[in-house]
Amino acid sequence: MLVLELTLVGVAFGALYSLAALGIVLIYKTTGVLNFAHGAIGMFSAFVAYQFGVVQHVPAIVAVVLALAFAAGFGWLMERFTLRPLRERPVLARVVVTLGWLLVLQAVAGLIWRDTSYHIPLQVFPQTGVRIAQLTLGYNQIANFVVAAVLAILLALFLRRSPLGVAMRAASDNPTAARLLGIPINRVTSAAWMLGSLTAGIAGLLAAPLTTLNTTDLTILVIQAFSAALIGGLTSLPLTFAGGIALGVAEALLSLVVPHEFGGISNVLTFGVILAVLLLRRQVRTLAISAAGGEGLA
Amino acid sequence: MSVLVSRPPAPRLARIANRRMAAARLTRDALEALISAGVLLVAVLASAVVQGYPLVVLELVLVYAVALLSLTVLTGYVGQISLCQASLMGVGAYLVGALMGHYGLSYWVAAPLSIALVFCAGIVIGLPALRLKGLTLAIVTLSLALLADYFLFADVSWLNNNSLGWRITPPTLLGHALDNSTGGGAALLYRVLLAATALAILAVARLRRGRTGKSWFAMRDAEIAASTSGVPIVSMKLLGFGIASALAALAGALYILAVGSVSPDPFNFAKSILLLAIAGIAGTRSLPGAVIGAAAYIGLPAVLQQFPNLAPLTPLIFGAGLIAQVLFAPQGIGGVLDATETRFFRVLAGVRRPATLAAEAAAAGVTGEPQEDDDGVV
Amino acid sequence: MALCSLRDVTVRFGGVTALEDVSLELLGGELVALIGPNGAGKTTLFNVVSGIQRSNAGAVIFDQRPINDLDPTARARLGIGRTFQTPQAFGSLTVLENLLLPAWLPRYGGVLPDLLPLPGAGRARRAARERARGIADFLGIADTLERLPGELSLGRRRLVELGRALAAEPKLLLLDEPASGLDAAETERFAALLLRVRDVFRLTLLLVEHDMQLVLSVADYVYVLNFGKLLAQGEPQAVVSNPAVIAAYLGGASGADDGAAPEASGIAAPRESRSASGARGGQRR
Repeated sequence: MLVLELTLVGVAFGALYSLAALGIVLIYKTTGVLNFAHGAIGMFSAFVAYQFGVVQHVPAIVAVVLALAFAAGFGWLMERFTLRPLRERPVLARVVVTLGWLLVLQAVAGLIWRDTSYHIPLQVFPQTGVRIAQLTLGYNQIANFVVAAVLAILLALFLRRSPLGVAMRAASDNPTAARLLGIPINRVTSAAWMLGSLTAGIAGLLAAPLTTLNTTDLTILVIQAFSAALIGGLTSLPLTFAGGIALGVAEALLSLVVPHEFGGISNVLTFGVILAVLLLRRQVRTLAISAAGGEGLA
Repeated sequence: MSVLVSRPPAPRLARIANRRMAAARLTRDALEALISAGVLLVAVLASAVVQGYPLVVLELVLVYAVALLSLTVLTGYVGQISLCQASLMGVGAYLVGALMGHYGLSYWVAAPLSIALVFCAGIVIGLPALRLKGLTLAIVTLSLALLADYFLFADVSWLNNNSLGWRITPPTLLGHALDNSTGGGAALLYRVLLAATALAILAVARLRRGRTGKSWFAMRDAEIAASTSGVPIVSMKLLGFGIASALAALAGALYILAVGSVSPDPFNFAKSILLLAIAGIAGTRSLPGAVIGAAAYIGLPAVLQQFPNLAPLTPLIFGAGLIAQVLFAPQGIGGVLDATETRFFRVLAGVRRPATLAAEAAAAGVTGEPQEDDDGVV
Repeated sequence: MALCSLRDVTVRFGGVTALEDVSLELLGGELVALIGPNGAGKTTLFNVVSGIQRSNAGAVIFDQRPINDLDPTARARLGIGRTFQTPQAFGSLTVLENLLLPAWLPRYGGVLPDLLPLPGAGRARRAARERARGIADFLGIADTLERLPGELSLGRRRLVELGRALAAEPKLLLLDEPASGLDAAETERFAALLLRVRDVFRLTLLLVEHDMQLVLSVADYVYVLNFGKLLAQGEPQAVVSNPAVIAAYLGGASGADDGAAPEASGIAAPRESRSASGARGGQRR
């Protein structure tokens, strides 16, 4: 029974990892950049929803729309003004810029909302749940899973079917050829960052009620997201979704096996997964290396 | 002019030009040594004038200059990114505390031991880096930093004294306690830190000038060509990780000496990112950059602390600064200084700018691609 | 006696076979050219010899010992040097330092000689610097010693790279299209330079080159690769008049290679040194 319950908790958390990872994969696929600010964007979006929904008592749906608008808008701004000018530079330079944004977002959120105090997150879904047999399934948990699954399917369909999605894939495979073929590379990149940040925002909104809403916890969700994304080889959306769920379940079940109450056990697991995937999956390694291009902060 | 095969028609002229440039370089080296000596002298004298809190701030600047030096070596010279340098620094500091606390070792034994252990740890961290680079190494080191946060600094009771952290009794040198609470002790402590930092900078400068540094640069610029030129890639990379980690541990050992105690906060993952940010802003390839960066890293929060509620501005400024640096000054402040100096001494040596040189070569019939004008600073 | 030989070397990338059962021999002191259409596997062969690419099958023998398991650094130390199609100079080192480093490295004794002013350290550096200067004088790039490679024209960057390779005192030097981007007059001077490099430094040269004029004027022996297979070998004049080679260069040679290869090597009259080594004649051992 406990195992089943923990598995369900794991699935709910894993769905969050999947959600966050989907955006990372989308951005990586189209631009070759790993967005370290992904978690920070989700964190900030959750705080925007908190500001409107909890502090100012705006209807929840409006708060959600505002928060997601922030996420997408921020993704667009970030790409347009701090990443696009670096297109000719090594990918690492752009990755360092996302690290800069991580610091900025965390600091601004700390200035506005104070990272130490406790914040009541905006509850998008009711805190209750349904009882099936002897198990309680929270609406939050169900929502996480459904939203993550639906988004994974929608994004995969979008990339495969819609003209913009196909253009995105072409842009990632060979940017120069894509430009020669008349694919509007700027619009494609903008779209990828907006969509990617939007999923970060959704993940942040859904994660806030399940974890604690402060400026750190959601920010470092990015590591779990990377880990899930790496399981998907940084390319496959369905595998990424499955990887996130698997990571969440493994984490939850590990708490059964490991007697000592470490705070770090999930991180050990995540780190193990990252290292294993990077060192063992040759394809991922070469992918990442070819995208890395140059070294150094220059 | 026949540049390709036979000697240039006037080798004498070439030799004169070379000699001029070599002379200019010597002048430049001499000037740099002079400036360094001047800064060192001022720094030594400072302890006679500065006391109390400002002196502690200066001590921390020295400590973090060594921490940034570790990024100079790793990121600037070896060309590898690390998001766990603050964690390594923390491990260095905690190890000193643990070795002193558990085994009653003297600080002067515990510190070198801690540095040696972290040197080995650095080589282990470097192992995956043999196969990974860039993006993937950033992920690995960031997750290592998080691991250290949750695990080493919070859970491993041997290392962190059951989560209490460590407070060390000030070690003595020549019969005097290195203790910030007494005026004389503070001045002596400051001088010890200054000596350690100066020696660390000197050591890195010598490495940079020697085979080790040149091999690192060659590897960073063109790894495959370096390997076919006989640079032992594996050992040079691991050596780079080891030395950078040892420098971080030295910074940690100096930190616990200066502060007298150690707690997890200065070494969490966010601090690692901040360190990398400030290293980037100050210029990862520049030694003066490391000192300037340390002054900013310690100075800015110290100033902001005077104003209520402005403390969180520090990461904001560093984050924004990092973005600006990548966008507008790829070599950072130190790189800008360096380029200015290079230009000055080239003018002094009467050497034409590269652009003119390339144009001339093209006019003389030397085929080649159009020159990328990077002004001589790569 | 062969300085370096490849025996039935095969390299595959996924489903693509870049080299298939390639065998060749490089005799000491020879200037050997490797020619073939684009994509024939010439650079892959270079990578196999210099250790950047592992072969899936076959052996690389250097100085009578198999070196399949050695990494590029170890092979460089044994005496295999190379240049690259696009020059890969060390951009942040001056030309002098580019030439100095390979001469200096074999005397590398860890970090201590760098850190402490030990007596021997300065001597090693000075010796390496003298060698670097001598090479720069020989190549005619002495006036660029204090420059950064990025400031030089492509032609001179190639010379810097050649100098860097020479500084490591190689026995075998692999040159990957060293004359591409040079005009006719420069190519002619470059050909003279290559011969002087071979004679003065007493080394064996393997040259990948598209410029047939250059190949004809300098090469002692020529190997022709096509679609990863050895298509022909022999004296330069014989090879260029070989119908299979002509067909390969004009395209549509895929049907000709298997049948033509033995015939092609038959055209080449093996010289004494080669017949003594017993390696030629089209049969594989």
